[in-house]
Amino acid sequence: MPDTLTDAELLLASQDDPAEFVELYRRHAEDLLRYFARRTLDPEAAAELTAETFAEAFASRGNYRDTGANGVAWLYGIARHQLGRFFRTGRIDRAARHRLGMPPRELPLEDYERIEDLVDFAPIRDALIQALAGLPQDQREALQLRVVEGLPYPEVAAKLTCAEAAARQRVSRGLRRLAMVLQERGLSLAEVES
Amino acid sequence: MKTDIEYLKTLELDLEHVAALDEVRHTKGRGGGRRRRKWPAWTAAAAALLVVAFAIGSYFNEGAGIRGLPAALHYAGSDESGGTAGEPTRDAQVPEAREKLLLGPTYNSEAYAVAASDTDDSSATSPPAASASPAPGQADPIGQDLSKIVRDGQISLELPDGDFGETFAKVVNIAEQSGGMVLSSSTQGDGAGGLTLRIPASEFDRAFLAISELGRPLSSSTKGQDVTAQFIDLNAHLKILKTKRDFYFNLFENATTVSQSIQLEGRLEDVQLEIDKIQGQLRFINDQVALSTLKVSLREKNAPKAEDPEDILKPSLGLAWERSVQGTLRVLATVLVGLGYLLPIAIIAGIVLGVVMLVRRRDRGAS
Repeated sequence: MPDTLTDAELLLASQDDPAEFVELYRRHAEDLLRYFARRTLDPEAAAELTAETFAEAFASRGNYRDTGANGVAWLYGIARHQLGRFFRTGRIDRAARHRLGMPPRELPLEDYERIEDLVDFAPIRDALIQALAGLPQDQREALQLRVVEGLPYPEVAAKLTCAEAAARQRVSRGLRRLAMVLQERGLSLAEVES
Repeated sequence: MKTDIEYLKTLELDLEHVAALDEVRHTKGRGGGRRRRKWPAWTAAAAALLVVAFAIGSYFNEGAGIRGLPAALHYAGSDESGGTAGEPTRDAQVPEAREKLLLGPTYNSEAYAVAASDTDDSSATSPPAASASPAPGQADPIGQDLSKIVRDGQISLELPDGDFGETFAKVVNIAEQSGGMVLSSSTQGDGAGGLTLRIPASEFDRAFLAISELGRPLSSSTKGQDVTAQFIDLNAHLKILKTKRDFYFNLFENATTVSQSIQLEGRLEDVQLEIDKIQGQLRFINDQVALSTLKVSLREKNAPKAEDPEDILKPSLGLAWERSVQGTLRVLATVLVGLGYLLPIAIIAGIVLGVVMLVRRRDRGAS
């Protein structure tokens, strides 16, 4: 039954039956994660923003009114708000998850590559190479190895002579910083793609 | 969920858990979506309850609430002279007011007419005019009755329509026949006005009574201020100064040098100035004691109420604040009274509702 409902109908139904919201999540979670990954270039940030967006949407689903637009547009409105706050403050809010009692979750190591795979770096590789020059040396080297040369994380860690977790962290921070730089320059992966 | 990203799978489980918890709350009637819809209903119910309480309180609470509010506000602001303002005296109460006026303050007006005319420098037979100048060397009235009472009053009368002009003339006539005068007067259109009268203290009560009979008294007050102590002090001071003056005068007459004469002349001048000042104060007191001030306000029944120019030019924020506070307190008191009446009804309704719910639950359990 839930598969036949539109997104707007799912949202309205979830106001009386909260379980319907999970169906909405199943439909759009990966797309939303890709949306954030392409804009932040950072798997950790993308994952947290996805979680916070769905938490916020669940908490405020009672306010949803069907105005004729697609229900997912309401969801992406919340997502844009979260993204804007992230770029303004440089950090990700946890208020909605805290309110709902959702525990903090670490991003599993194997998910880093999977989320990066959601982002096709090819179109912005050249812009990235230019922006790399402005990064700290450790992050620049990590990104150079991982993004530009496309080496797997174990090899990146070996070349940087650090643990794999540390290598992932440097790449993640470097990507986050790159995303800020691209944002400042008015560039994002989505815009470059278009 | 079909994904190979573990984080998303974990997030799905977290959301399912949160949804299940919300479902439990929802079933108990405290769900997220439904709770929000209850709020407006509760707010409306509370507002309706307060309105009903206010209406009930107004009905049962005479003198406050809707029915009493305009009158109460009028009372709060109408009488600023500290007089006996209150409900408009009905005709049956006029004889009582008359009796009150006659008994009034416990002053013997005749005795104080003598005292009022007994200034430091005037004879007892002279009319109680304020302009009597002191005769030098006259003995001080020490040992005589020196009670000095300044009496003032105000009265506000409602007149039948069309009577304002005639009544105004009658008030002037009463003042003149009492040996007094009209100090100032004002009119507002053809139906309202006021007069300030100066009436000899001995005639004050009679004039007050006569004027009160010209219309329906809306408010009246009299007050007396005892200035005896001030009068005695001034007289004592005056005596000392006169003694000093005589002393300097004798020295001046016996002065042998020009410089002595000049010095003594200067001191005489200073003392004389002091004497003049105190005599002026004594004359003022005597004038106030001798002539009482009576403010009369006349208004026809249907005359339009004009704004007091004083209120327009100098609106009293203090008075406005007082009225505002009184209004707020009256409304709160009215709501409280209403809630008091509603409380037993609420208790009974609660008991009945509780019994009904118990019976329903038992039926549901049985089925």
